[in-house]
Amino acid sequence: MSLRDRLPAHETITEFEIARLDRLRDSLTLRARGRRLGAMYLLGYFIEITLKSAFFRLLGFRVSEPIRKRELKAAADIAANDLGVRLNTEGYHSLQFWALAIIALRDHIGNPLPSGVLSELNWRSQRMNSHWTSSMRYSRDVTRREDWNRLWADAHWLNANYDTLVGTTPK
Amino acid sequence: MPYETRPPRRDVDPNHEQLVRALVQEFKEKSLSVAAMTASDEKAPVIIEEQMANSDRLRVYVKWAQWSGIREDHRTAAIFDAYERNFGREYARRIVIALGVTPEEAKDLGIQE
Repeated sequence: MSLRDRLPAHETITEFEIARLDRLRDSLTLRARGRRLGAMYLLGYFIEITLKSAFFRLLGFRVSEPIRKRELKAAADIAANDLGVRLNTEGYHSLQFWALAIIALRDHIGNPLPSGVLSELNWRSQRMNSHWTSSMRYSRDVTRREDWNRLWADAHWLNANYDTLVGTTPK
Repeated sequence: MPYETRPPRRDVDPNHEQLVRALVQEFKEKSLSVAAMTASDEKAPVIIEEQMANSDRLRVYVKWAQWSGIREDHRTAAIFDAYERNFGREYARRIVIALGVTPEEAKDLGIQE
């Protein structure tokens, strides 16, 4: 049985939750070995999966409900068309897009983020966007220590505020 | 004994006050309606305000070359402060998305005047 056959047929929030923490560990392993670009690349995926997981939770998906390409596309369409979130050249990998989608969806469902978190997610979305792109995998390592520090700070903040983003902690 | 109370110290750009004033000035010079304020002067900020569907909430994008070299959190703080100063706290609370972008960043986000 090939690896492709062993991969889940579709994603779920549960799979997202496992995968995001796996990507975080992978990233930290590379960072400890001085492989900064690789570490940042995987840290970006930790952020992306975390944001998508939060968005699907806010959409009301059950943790075992299938998330296939069509569900991802539909979710992105809701964010772009119904909530008016701008999609940048990064497309559906855009960290900024999913971060702003969470802000807009929380507001849309009548449960807006606390103002401090809203403001912070706004600017962090922008900073994440300027420190990560899926196409960095094609590049030699041109990262600087401060690049890692900023993306790591954003990832850490996101993880620490995950419950607040999905509305499971009191404001 | 001298006695003075001070508000909590905020982490803002060293030129925060000037940034806020410039934005407020822009509000005053151009009467803000609903869609967009466009600046004739290329160096002036372009403030794009979009109302979200079925709600009074706002998305605000400020396109401004001046943002270059200014941290993202400082940009957002300047925008919120400028709105609050010019329109009041209640109006500023309607803002859901507030991004300060350079012209290059605006292009990437598809923000056009």
